[in-house]
Amino acid sequence: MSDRQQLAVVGTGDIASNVAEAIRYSTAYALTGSVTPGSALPSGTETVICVAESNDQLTALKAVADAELPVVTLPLTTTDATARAALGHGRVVQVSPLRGFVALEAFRADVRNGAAGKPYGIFGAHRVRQGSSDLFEKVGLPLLHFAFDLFAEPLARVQTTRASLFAGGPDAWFVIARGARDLLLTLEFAASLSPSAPASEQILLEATGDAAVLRVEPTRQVIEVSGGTGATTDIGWWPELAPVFVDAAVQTIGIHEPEREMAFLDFVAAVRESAETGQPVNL
Amino acid sequence: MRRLKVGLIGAGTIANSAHLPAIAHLHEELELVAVADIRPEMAEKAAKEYGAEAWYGDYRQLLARPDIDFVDICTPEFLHHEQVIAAAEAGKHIHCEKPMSATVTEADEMIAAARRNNVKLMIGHSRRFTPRYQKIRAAIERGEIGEVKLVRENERRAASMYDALNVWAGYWTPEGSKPWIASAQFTQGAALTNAVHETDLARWFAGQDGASVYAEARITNPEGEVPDMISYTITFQNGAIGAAEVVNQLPTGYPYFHMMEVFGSQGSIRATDPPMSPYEIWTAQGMRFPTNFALLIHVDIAYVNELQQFAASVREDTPVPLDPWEARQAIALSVAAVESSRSGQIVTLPSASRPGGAA
Repeated sequence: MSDRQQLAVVGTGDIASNVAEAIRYSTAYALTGSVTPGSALPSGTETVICVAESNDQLTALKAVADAELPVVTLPLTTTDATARAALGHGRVVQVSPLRGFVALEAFRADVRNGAAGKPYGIFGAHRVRQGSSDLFEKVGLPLLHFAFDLFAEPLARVQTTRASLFAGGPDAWFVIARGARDLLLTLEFAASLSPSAPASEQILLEATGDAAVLRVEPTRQVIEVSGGTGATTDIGWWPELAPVFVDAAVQTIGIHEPEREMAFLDFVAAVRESAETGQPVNL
Repeated sequence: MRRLKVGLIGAGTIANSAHLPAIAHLHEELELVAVADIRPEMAEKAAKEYGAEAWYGDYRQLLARPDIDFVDICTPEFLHHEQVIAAAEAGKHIHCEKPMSATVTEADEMIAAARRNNVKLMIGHSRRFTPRYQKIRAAIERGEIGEVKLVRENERRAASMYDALNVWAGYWTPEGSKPWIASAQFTQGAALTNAVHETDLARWFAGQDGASVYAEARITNPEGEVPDMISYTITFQNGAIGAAEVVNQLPTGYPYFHMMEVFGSQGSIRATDPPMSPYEIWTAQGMRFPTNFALLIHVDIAYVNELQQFAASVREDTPVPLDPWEARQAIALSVAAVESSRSGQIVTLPSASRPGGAA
């Protein structure tokens, strides 16, 4: 057997195929197989990367639980007792898909190493095109988890303003959270970019503190071409996200903090509850 | 053109960094004749530096001069109510630095006093006179981005911002107190001192009054007694959103930075201080910002525009370019943000009607 770490991918769709592809061509890992949620794991698997989404997540986690293997999953979309049971069974760690961006990985490492000094706040915004579907699951949860993962401070209060601004349904979320030690978290995710916007998405994270301000905008590196027919933006040269995500996922599996995993579910539940009621939620 | 005689009240930081240089720039239109400050030495220093013939330790002495056409009030917000009403009753036209007041009631009484005494009152919301923001507003008015749905401006200031500009004149610091800007006795903090810019701009661009506000604020300055950082979400009456995160105590060298974004139904506008400062020096030790040009540009243009247009309205007896009701509504939003941050609750704004006619 190869001494490379044996990884299995659980999921369907583009993310699953991209992650499987990244592992297949990696020199550090070996792919035992890529299976659909609920299927048995390939033999020889040492670690599971679960990129199942929405309703498939819990099905996938349930199927792999008995194998008692380390499992990395995208942030859970449900926060009920079933989700908590799935998360609490074995060694499951949630990882934001935003960690596929090299710049965000560097930012995360610096922030977690205290580069900002005494932290004041985290600002994060992720905008996608108007009319984009599954905003909360595909854009919101990754941002919430990435920001939550930047600091160890427990959250004390969350308020969400959910608005229907552009396309009829809820398409803009504004989250302000306060940490137990006063860190302020300001997050915005919205399907707010017009169809003619030069880039299809816009990501900005900023950490402020008494020693430094760290600002990262990974989607800013674009080639803009202004011609007779208007402006176009080319991002086709961006590095693939999947290989960086796989590295991040494998590194993260070594840090299993069940209480933090559950605390993230509490955060997500509070964000949703506040969005429904319009009132702040104390944690 | 007749030069208007100006009396300046409050010779502190904003006077020295913005108002006095702007008045000097407009020397063909304005003549600074007197300066008043509770610190007589500051009044004297400003008067001598900018060529005023008199200085006073009591602003009422300045108001008693019959030759002054208008006063320029540059004191902290907790003094505006008293001083604006006194100036109105002395028959002086009034240009007053933002924020308008500490409370909405005070703002209403200031507007009423100006109307009662038939004097002009304008609050200096400098960003209304800054080309960057004027161009954004013009694009919105032209319908370029459709209906405005979301306005966000994040603002960042270094704790040492004024040191870097070398225009620090010192905040008024009563004996036994902290500087007024950090003292709970004199201010409610960032929501008013500078986030009132963001509440005003969001309302201006959205073209709507606020319906509700949620805010969280904190004190980051170990010496401070009032919040110097605030994050808020405003829901306007038509459902549009105004949002901001304002941080005022960033490390030395951090540029004065604004990120204004307006999202409309058909497009968006983004205006930041690009990329962080127009002047950067890179060395083996990294990057530094030797001088903050963003602020200098702001001061040179905005305050000149603001004072020049106000002076024209005095000279020609026309409405002021910025009705004080606009400033009153910005105060309503900022005060609601303060209340929300203290209570941890969403604050609903009462409806209010602009009094008839311009002051």
